[in-house]
Amino acid sequence: MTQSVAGDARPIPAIAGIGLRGPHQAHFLNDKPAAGWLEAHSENYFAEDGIALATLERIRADYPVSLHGVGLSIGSVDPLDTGHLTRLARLVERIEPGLVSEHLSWGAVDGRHLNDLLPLPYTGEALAHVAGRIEQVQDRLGRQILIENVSSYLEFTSSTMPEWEFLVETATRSGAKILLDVNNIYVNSQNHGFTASDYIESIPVELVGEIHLAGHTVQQYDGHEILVDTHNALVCDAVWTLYAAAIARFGPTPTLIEWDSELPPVETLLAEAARAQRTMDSYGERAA
Amino acid sequence: MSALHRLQRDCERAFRGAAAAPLLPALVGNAIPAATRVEVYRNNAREICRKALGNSCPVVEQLVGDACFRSLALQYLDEHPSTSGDLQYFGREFPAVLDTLYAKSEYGYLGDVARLELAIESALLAPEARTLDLEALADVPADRLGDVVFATAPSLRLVESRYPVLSIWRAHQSDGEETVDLCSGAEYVAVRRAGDEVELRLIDRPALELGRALDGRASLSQVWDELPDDVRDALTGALKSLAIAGGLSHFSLPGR
Repeated sequence: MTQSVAGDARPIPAIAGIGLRGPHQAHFLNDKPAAGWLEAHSENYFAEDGIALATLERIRADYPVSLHGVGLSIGSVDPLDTGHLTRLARLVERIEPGLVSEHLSWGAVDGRHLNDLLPLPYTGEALAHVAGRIEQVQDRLGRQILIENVSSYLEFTSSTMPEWEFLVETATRSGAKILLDVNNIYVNSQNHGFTASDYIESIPVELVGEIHLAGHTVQQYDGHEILVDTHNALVCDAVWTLYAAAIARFGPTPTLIEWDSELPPVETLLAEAARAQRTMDSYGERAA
Repeated sequence: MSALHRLQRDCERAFRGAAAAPLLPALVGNAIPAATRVEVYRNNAREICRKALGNSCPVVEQLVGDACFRSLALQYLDEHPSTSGDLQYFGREFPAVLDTLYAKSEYGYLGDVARLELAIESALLAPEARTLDLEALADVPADRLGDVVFATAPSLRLVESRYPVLSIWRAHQSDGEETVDLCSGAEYVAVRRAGDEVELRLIDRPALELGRALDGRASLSQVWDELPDDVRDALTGALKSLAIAGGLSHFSLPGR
């Protein structure tokens, strides 16, 4: 089964890829290590004449590339930042990525940005709001996007449905696909006390277009342990187990290893991607 | 105001460090108190700000150390909340904040080091310039030189400091010199993109003043009228210095 969502020039294959970060760009450009595909943070390439975008275009010649936004604040009540959206549209036109994704979150209100991926309340009001905004983005880009579940450290009393229902309903109403972050599901299950596998089982197979895997850290706050999505560590064993369950349900799916701070050598990321690939390969062998 | 707007406003205030009390009733409280959960987001907000400033100004971070930089980032976040989902330009007021804090102290150079680092970051985002056609320039008749309109490279950034700011910056690169004499005087720096790199060159003050005056519209004689006397006297050398630094991208001559 191939889960690639229609892209323009080079679809993202249903294999493992890694996040493209600045310090690794020269390595990908010059040494061309064997990565299935690469995902770039859209905002890092908004300067149309800058070195970063020129470099991404050169890398794009050798690898399928997806674009992953972190700053659109799609769930905010503020009007969509049309300048930001225009820059994203131009970038999409230029790079022709296999996938384009954003987060099911908000990060700004009344013009003040926290530049974080903040959770929404799981209410009918928030659902209608964010689904409409995703439609606006898709209309502007002229293509379907994927929407990613985020890590959270609090819940709102006003929520009327579980997170997974909110995610599925958002995707269904807006016509987007889901970028399922398995680490975020695990982090939230520990922080809020639900069963992570129930979340996976609640997601319709046909909605999932990409999976993310990352490392988190366990932090102490006033003597309480809270899992924080820091993207600075290896994927933990519990998340690998959950990932195997996800692949068993969704089949081989484009899977990204994300690592954003305290970056290790590319080889470490490639080894993590190889582990994800083995999980997908073993699913294929069982299915056969 | 909608319920969602009210909730987001209360979150934003609480996460930025203002009173969390209005938000707490809206949060689920269980084994981990709601106020503790808010603290995670407060910490994240501070870390995001610190990392963004650290990415832009790594030498300033080295110079002041982790703890001080963290404290500076916190103050910066209070005074200059981010106004964009794109953090590329978040630190643009940071040099002025450092000036206010340190200008009259022995660390008065910090603001200029930040200015230089932001100039480097900005040059990386700018287009590459074409190379000044020196042969064509040599063909301009001597009596028409005053009519020449020079354009500076779009990535050119000019930084001046009463401190040896480029020497300080270079000393904090991996192959840098170990010591810098802070009393060695002012430095003027031309920063520009050269291919996939950013090139930094020391220039003199007349070259810096000339580079600032050339706007791609005024002729050399019009620019000359506006320059201070000492720069006028050094105009030929200043032009040459700017050209060598790659600061001039092209010229035009009306009527040709």
